[in-house]
Amino acid sequence: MAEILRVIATFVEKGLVYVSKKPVFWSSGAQTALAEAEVEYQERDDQAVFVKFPIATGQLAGKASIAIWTTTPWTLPANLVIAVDAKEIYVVQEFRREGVSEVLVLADKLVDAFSLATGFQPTGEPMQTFPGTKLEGFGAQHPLLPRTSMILTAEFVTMDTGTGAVHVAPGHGEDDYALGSKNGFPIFSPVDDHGRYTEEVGIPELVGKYVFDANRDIVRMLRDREVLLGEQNFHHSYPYCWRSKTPIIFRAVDQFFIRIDDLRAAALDAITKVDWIPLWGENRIAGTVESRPDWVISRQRSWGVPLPVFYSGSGEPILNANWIRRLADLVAVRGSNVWFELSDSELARELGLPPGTTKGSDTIDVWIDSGVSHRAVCARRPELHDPAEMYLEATDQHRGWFQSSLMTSVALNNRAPYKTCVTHGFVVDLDGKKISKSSTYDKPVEASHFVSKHGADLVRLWASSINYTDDVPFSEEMFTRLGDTYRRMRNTLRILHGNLFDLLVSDVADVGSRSTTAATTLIDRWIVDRLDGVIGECRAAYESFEFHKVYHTINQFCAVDLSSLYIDITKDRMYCDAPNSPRRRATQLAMHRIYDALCRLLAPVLAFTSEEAWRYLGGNASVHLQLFPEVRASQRDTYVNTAVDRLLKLRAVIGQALEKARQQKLIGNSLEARVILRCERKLIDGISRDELEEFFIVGELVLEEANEPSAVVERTSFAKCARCWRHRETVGKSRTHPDLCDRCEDVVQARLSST
Amino acid sequence: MAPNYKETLNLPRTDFPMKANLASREPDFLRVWEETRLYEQIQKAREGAELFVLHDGPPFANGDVHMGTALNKILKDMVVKSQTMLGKRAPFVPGWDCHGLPIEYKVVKESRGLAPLEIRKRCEAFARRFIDIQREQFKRLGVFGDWGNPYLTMNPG
Ligand SMILES: [Zn+2]
Repeated sequence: MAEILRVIATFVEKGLVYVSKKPVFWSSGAQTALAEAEVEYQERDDQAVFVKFPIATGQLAGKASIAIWTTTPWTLPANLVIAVDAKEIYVVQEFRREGVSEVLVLADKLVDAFSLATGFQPTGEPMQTFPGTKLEGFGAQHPLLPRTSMILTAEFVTMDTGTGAVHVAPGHGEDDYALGSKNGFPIFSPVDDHGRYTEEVGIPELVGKYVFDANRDIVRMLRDREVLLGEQNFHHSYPYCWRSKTPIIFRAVDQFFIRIDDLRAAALDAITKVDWIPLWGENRIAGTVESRPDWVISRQRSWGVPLPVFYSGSGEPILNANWIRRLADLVAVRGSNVWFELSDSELARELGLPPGTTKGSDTIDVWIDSGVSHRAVCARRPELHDPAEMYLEATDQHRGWFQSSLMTSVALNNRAPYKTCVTHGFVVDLDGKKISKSSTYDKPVEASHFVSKHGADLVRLWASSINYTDDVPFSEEMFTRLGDTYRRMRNTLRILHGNLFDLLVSDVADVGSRSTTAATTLIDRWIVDRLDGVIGECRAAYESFEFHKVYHTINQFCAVDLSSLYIDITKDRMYCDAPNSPRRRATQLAMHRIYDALCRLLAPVLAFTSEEAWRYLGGNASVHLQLFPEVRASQRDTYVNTAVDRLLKLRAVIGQALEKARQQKLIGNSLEARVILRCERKLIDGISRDELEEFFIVGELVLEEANEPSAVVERTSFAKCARCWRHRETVGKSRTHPDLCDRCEDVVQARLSST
Repeated sequence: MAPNYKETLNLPRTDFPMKANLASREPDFLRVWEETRLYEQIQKAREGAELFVLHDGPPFANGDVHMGTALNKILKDMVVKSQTMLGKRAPFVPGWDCHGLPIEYKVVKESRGLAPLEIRKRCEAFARRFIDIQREQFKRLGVFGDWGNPYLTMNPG
């Protein structure tokens, strides 16, 4: 907190902080000024009224009334000004309704809409027409109070709704305030903290009444005084206090501000130097910075860092950087409660302030607290630094923390506090509705519910699976699909691990030093190349923070390349070859590499499962201490990829023929098949028949030359090996083991002689 | 009698369980990570490496961790873990936003008419309670960080 005060001291020194009576978003429910981010909009019905102000001075005095329209009748007692557009044409026109005649001044463009809304019909031609500027300076009689309001021209007047003559209460609106203070009007706001009229309002029966309840009374008074021209129900979106859910009022109070105009240009410049992910974030925050008004940093609350404002004996507010720094030193030692614990005189003595100095009672907007964390945390903790490489929050933080941090950082350092700014969408249910802990949302939203039911790794897998730059769909049902993906990954790891049981550590260590390709068949070379691809894609995805690409790449690799191809095709050699046959060992080494790489690549996502799998590899250190695997080959193995692509196409052709043969009950499984494969010989050039039979998982393969690939399946005449269940030409040839194929006989023989 | 060839096969062997039982098994890993001070080990292992600071936007110390907050923290953790495994030093200092209307509102609603100092004491107790709750919930998600020394906007320093 001391650091927050020191930052305020710097702002004071730079002349960025000022005090002013100004209308702010005021929550009458929570009795405090609100930040823009604490305001939410709700649909609401209000009574809009058309009211006449008889013109009292100037050329039209006593001859006509100016007609205004407002959706907040309760602000009428604070009306001091009526605004018109300088260039738009206004008319003086007689209207009649049920025998009542009124001569009214309003914008020409809005006459028809006015008639429709009020029932007043224009009679005859306009008596006069002129641009609005001609009305400037006229006085108009206030409809409820004995005073005149002044007509002024202003740029915010529009011809969308109303009459083109806008009711202005400088103490109750942003534009109103600007126009009123520019022309020297008081910032009149006769409403207390609870949203009730004060005596200043000048109408005794309204004093103490909640303003939104007073709307009815005001409409009645206007009707009684025959100044109400019409009323209509008005449905609009209106700001509410996000916390107390009460409608906001604009109300002028003494507040402390940071002057944003002094920072705006530098902030906009700083924005262009940041990487925004997704890109549209840059426009979003630039728009927010361009339009944001001065920052109200005072809060009439207790739970916050004290706003270090002092008052002189005569009640003048004092902002003094040195005093604030002395206070910061005191707070660093005794905590900020010291501000509340010490009396005015004790605090003055403690800080060495002139006797009679008193302290304010406001606290600082919490957006300052978090908005200066780049200074209080990043710049001060030894393991961090400022600017940070990254801020990563939900998209609402363009208005919130990204912006508050940017503003304070520009004020202190003239640059952004982050190099990259990433946003993610909101978590929404399948209907696109934001999930939240509200009374209207009845499904569980607590993370602990899902963690205790499905495990943290499944929640993490979900977080990795989505493109977080959009809104993020979520539902309990999604865990079914995520569970399938998880089990596939886990099972792939498990099968790989199951095949490594007799691989010696020395074999693994050895592998780097010798050429692995010599003893490696096509399928091994292919999977190792695919792994290189997967490693490259995952590393790139992690570098660009695109976790869903990691998810899809690994899921695809496990489901297709590993489960349905590599593991399936190598099953025979893994189970039935001699344990140390070169091709089995080559496959084991490949599987070891894959297992090792998958553990590392999955670690940021499946933090627990990757650690579990990693332990089965035998090391002591956590997987989270490791580095990602590197891409091994300097370039992709194009030969092997082309060759395997061709084989996969032929595999599909054979697969169809096998399926047909199975349906015709010609064969039971593919190992009983004699497949006559017709294709261009060059497609399979240099690949042994043994390897092809293994790749296609068939008993016997006969090759014939043809332009178009096709396959015919017959039942093989070879006998079935009792050990590997493959139908081989060599089964029955041996005297000692007539039930085995030659490979299996060798294996069995070797085992016998070794025991 | 036919020989039992099955024994001569190299059938897969592993203790790696098919069934994950994540909800019950994960806490064991958390315990080991805590006991072995894994976060500190990682920081030490990357000493001198290029620094990557992801600065945590502090959530309000108010309420349980819901799925939106969980998504945010997990995404941050995936950035931190992956940057670490890319070879960088990626410390993570979690933070909490402690002050403000949401907490004061709850405290004041419970008992109106308290003096500011009493309000502040109750608010602080409220915030600390939820910091502890949220800290455990974030850790349970597998998020690594300096949980013993987070930054709190209400800290005196
Ligand atoms: Zn055999």
